[in-house]
Amino acid sequence: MEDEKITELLTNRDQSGLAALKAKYERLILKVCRGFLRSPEDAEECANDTLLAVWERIPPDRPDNLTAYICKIARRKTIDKLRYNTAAMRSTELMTELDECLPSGYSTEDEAEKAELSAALNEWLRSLDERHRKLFTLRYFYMQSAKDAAKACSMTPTAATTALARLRGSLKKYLVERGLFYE
Amino acid sequence: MNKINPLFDAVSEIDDKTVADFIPKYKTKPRKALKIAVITVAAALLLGTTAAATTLGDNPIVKINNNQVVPLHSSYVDENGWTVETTAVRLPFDTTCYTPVGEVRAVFDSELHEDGIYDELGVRLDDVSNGINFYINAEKNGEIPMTLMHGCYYDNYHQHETITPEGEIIIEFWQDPIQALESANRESMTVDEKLEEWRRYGNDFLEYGGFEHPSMRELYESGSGVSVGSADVHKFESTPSEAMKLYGYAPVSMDGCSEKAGMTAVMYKGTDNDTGEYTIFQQMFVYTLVDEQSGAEIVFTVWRSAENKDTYTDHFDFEYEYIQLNTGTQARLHQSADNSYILEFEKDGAAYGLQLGRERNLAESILEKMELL
Repeated sequence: MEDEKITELLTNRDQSGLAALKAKYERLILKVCRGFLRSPEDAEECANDTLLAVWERIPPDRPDNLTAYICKIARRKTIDKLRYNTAAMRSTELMTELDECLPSGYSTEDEAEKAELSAALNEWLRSLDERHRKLFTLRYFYMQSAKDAAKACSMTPTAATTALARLRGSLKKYLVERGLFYE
Repeated sequence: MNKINPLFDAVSEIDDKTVADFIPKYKTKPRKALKIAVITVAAALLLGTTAAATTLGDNPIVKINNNQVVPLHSSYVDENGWTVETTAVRLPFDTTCYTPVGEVRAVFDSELHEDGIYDELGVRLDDVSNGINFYINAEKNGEIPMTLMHGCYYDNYHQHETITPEGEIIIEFWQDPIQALESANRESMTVDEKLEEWRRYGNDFLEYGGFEHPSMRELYESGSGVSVGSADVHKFESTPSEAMKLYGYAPVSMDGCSEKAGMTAVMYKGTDNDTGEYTIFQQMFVYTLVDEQSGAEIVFTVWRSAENKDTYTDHFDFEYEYIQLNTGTQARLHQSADNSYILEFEKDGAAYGLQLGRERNLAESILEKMELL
């Protein structure tokens, strides 16, 4: 079913829209959730939370890009779960990698600061060529393993690991230059 | 509570276009049908029977040793009304195959599978208007041009390969109806066009893959660069311990498990980025341990890559990676999209991986025995 039709059904509170949403996107949502969560049960729970959240938010939301909208919600739900569940994090590797750019202890409690950080990240991403943008997005948005991301980008895992390290260095430099992070 | 890096929140706000542009591949079909297909094909081979001359479209698919065997092709309608096609093939190594594009030899290439396993045959499907051609990307001399390794994408098919300790490869592939629909309007490509596309991917590989030897760079910049890679496959009937001694390694052992005879080793070769020498840069070993208590067979896939090819020989030591894990080396249990559990870790700049099978309790049992849980 086309995304527009699904959105229309959801907007009209038609439960067949939820069924269509689940049929089309459940596996993608699970893919996003499993990128971070070790426990299949946790991933399932996050996927269900994501579907429910989409159902609750449309309407009033009317996303232009339903796929991106769903993936973002799935990712937020996954991070929420991580915050809640401190015991079984698969995320250590990813956390450690992003800590190279901005330490976890670095506070961005202020909403404006968070928004500025997001804007800076998007600006930095736009400065990258497509392959590196894809590599970064697969690794840090979709939380794919470096090897999976490498394959998707037609790279060897070694090359991807090297490229990711360079990207983190570049991002850190960018954040420092923008005054968002002081070493 | 663990502190979540604020960048993770920021990454959540990546713009919609980027998020939508780079959706990872994901599977939309249940695995059940695949397993049935594989079992059926395997049974046909074991019985020595010639499987039905199954074709996709009007083309003969693959002949192995002059017997037309596979792929087995099945079709069913899923719960959403999609017609899902599944196919499976089981190939011995070093087998001459007769395909629609000529006689080729089945060998490995080193494309990284989404499971993180370097076990992929250079096999691809091509969706053409009058059916589906199936052929193998290998040259007759048994070496696969590296350019073919990184362009093997399937417009509307997913593929999964498994290597067995007996030295066989099980290839499963199935149609993804959603992606098929999305790609239905793509322009069909001829084989020559596809080859050209692969060459482009190969050039990209030269740029990003670490094969940055000046001569390769020059070739790349001239637009005609081809870096050649291949993989040697060695089969052993002896125990993994005995076989691995030949490579100078200590065997991987596990409490309560014995070794099953038989092992396959794969040596991946490519051009060294510093010396320009054609050398081994990756190794993989596949073998079976048997749980003495339950009799369960655990197939291990251990692979090894070296960041620094000059010193890779110093890195190839399997003996104590588990101890390193125990003493704090960062390790990761990864559940792949097809539910295989994979433990990944790094040591001395090299990446290791252990495939622990598809049963969660078995994977956990292994890790418990390794005292990692």
